[in-house]
Amino acid sequence: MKIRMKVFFCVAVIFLALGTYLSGIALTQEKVIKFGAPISITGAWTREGASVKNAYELWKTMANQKGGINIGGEKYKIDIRYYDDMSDTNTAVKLTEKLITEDKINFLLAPYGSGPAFACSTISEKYHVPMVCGQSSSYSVFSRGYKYVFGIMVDTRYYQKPAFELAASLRIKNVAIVYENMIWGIDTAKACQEHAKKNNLELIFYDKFDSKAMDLSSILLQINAKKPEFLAVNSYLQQGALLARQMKDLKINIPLVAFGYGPIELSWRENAKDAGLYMVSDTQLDVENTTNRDRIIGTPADFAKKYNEMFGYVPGHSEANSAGCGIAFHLAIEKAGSLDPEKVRDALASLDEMSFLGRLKFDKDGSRLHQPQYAVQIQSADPKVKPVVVYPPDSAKAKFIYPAVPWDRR
Amino acid sequence: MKKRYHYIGLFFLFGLAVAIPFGMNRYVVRVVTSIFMFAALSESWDLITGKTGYFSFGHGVFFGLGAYAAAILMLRLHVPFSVGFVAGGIAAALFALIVGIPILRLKGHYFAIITLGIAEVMQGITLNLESLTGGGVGITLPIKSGSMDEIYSFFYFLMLFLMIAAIIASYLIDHSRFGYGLVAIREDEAAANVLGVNATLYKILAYALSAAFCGFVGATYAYWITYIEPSDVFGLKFSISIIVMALVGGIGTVWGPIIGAFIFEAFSELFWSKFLTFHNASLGVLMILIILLLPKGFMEMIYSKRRLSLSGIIANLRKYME
Repeated sequence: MKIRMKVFFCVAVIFLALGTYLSGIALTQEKVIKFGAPISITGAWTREGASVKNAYELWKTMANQKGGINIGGEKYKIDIRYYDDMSDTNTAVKLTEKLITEDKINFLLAPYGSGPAFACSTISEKYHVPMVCGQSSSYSVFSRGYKYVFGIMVDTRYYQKPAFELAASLRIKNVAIVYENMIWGIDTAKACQEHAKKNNLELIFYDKFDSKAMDLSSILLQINAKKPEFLAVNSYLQQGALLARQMKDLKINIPLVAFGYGPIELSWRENAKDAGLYMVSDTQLDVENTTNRDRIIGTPADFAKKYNEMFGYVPGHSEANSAGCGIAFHLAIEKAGSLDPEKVRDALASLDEMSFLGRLKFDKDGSRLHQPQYAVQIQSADPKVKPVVVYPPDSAKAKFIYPAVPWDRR
Repeated sequence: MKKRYHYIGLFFLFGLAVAIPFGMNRYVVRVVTSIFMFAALSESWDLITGKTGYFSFGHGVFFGLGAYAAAILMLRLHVPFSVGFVAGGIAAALFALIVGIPILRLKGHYFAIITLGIAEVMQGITLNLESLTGGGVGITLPIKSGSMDEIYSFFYFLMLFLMIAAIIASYLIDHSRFGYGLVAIREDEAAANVLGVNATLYKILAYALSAAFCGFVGATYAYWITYIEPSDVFGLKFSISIIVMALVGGIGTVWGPIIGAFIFEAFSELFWSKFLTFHNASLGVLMILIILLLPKGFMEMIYSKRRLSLSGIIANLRKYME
């Protein structure tokens, strides 16, 4: 019996080794374009990192199903090499260099977050490897004159613009602005100050909170003392959801509460639960838009349907922007007709094509030329029900509920 | 005879270290630079914890102080890196002197907890002094001039120098009256006092020296990475990593923290590339196994009579379970 087991074990190991070797040969015989992606699989941004990876995988799957990327009549499959940056900037930088020098990737898909993207863009610039950022909207990433970094997300100068225009249309007179004390939060808060000036809203409160704060009641009580008509919050998912839940716990009623990022994401709504009801968020994705389309993914509705099939939930704009990184590279590589990084870089810089995300065209600094944005509102306490577009009026799918129903009447 | 082999071995390793930037790709140079950095930090941490028994959980604060001191001077006053480098070490040492006087009166867990608290407080202060530190946006330092290879080699050799300096400092302290005093404090502080060792002074000096090295490394790190933010340099990552490295290698020894840093980083690189989602867990399990099987670190393998043998491992496990 013991000898039979040993023989079985040896045979199994031989087959396994052979299989691995043969699959390696099969892959190497296919023409492949290698993309590198440092991703937050562990650490503070695990949820966000997971959604980014899902979106990259969706693009890869859909593109490969259609044969891959066409370069001069030859089809190239897409392969993406992932490493876990542990939501740490220094690690993301190290992995970016590893991907370029050791893994010999052709192009880079940026890590999650403006901080890591800011740091990694220095590496991509040094090595002249084009990098497209789907989750880095901080304008600081693009304002250094770098040539090899491009951004899909509308940058922070335009965040919360729909919410402020909506507030002005409702004749709201004042606003309180709070932000998470990190690069993206600071940039979006500065943008909110500009929006307030443009829309004649009096700024009555402006302050920050820590990314690791477990209790935001102190800042909420200060806000409540000012009795604002409009609260603009600029934070990542976790802190934003915490703020919403504590508003409910403290029964702080503010007629309009808008987030630069958060309510549009399922994970935020699951975290905030019914505390997120009536809250507003920015989005760059209107799932019902039918004019935006490309030959790889299709329309926004096709994207949402495919994403839901693959991963079990309806995506928000951050997933769409991440998939948009892939689309931008796809279109640019085909336009360049080459894998030469300089040619692809030039093709990205001169790209002007339609995609499921809208028009893909970059400014001279690599940031995306401003695209339509929408304000969405959570109108159901069920987190699985996605928020509805309420602004601008010509895109609105439902009436905007204002003012938010007070906590004691819900 | 044995000592001669040690010197030959050291000379060979030094030669290998010098040759790496000229023969390997830039990623390997970056990884080895990072290893030297952690080795220097771990060795400097051991100057206080290994020698006096005062367990510091927040040593990353000196690393962060050194990084920000250099960054602020270089960015705001446009001083050259050499000035920022020295300032980083001095700033960290001065801070250690100031906080060391009160906190080194605490012992055991209380000292450990307060060092943790100090690190968190400094992170909070740095986040809020926006006009000086950039707050949550962080600071971008000027990029060193020169070709890519020159830049990589510069930081490689500077971290190597800092690691060697920390080793030499540890060795000299071990063989000095000051070192004997520190060991006496570790064994029995009250008895050391009675025997004429000025325990307070010795502890503060060891703490300041340890902090100075961390500050120099922090200043170098800031210039190397060119972008720092409070959560990056004051975070617990550095504090905990250097503790684990010293534990793996052997606390209280000259070579233990160095060996621990190399082993930890080598396994970290290996697991990262092989296990996308379980690398942290795999590394954690491995470190726990190492600490269970070799509670005194890898140096135990070298100095213990039993060396690495099955009977030695079983004896360690039994001792641990008692």
